Amino acid sequence: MKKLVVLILAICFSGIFAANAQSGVKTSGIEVYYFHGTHRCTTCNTVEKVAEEALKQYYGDQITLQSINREEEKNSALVKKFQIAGQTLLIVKGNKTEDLTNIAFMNAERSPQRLKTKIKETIEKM
Amino acid sequence: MDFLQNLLENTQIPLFSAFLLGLMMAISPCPLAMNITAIGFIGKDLENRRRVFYNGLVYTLGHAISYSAIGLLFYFGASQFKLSGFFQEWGEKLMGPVLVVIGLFMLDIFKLNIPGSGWIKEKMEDRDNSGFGGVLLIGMAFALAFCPYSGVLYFGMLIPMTISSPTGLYLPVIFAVATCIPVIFFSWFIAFSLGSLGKFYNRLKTVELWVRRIVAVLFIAVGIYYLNIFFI
Repeated sequence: MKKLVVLILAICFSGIFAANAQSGVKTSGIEVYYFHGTHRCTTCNTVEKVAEEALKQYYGDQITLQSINREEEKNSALVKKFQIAGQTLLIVKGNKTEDLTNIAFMNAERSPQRLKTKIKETIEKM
Repeated sequence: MDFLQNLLENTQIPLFSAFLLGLMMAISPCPLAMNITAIGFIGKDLENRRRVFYNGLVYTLGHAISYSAIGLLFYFGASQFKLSGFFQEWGEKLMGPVLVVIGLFMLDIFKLNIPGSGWIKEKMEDRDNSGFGGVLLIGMAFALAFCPYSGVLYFGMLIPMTISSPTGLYLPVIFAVATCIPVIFFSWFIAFSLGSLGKFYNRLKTVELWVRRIVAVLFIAVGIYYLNIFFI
């Protein structure tokens, strides 16, 4: 029984290390933005929280969520660049952008794991 | 909400999707507050209960006009960035002042003779029960109170479906009907189910006046709630 536990742990750890090693190559140049307004709804906050958790869980400190208030003057260049009109969850690499807003708002409250998986898949495909 | 989202994910029929999006919108926080306020406004004509039901339908028509108009603007190439940015930034912020002003008019506190204000006052009070203008205006205005979540539902999901093909242009109407289902239901309920209560009300003309005052206070309260979110 003990051996089995050790074995399982070993498999898990090797999995984590393998995943980290793999993501280390792929995460370069990827930016994740979350645009929001000054007044924020419950779901808006949850989307941010879940996205943050997902990035931490899969990529540690390699990718961090950049939470940006689109109504603040200092962010207007970024808002213009990505043509942000409302709440938006964006994954960017070079000039490729993926908009996950709809999936985020549909799943953040109800099935956060689905959103996390989607974020991971999207980043891996970039 | 979960149930609606499950349905939404599993349907490929745009008509049904638009309807589900509308229902989700109807029960999301801001439109819900708007709808409750609207039910108060619509239900104040207790003397003529059939009219209450028509008011509910006219309110829905107001929603349909606003949602379709924005849909058409996008269809004819308005910039998603500028137009929906504008609504999502201002839609919710303007609701507070608008509600407070309407409430004050209904309370007869405003006696100022601003050009055009007499017309607004007339529309809002509708004393002679002749027109549906006030309800239509309120229906159109309330539709534009986009909160963050409802903004995603409308601008993020409904509009892309609407503008993807000319046949999608009827979708905002379906969406509008769904967002107003609570209002339609309550106006129907007041109109046709409060039978004996209605007769009682009919005998008490003064009740009408009080209902109008209570509705006015409701408007002001919801308005202050919105002002509080954004400006205080």
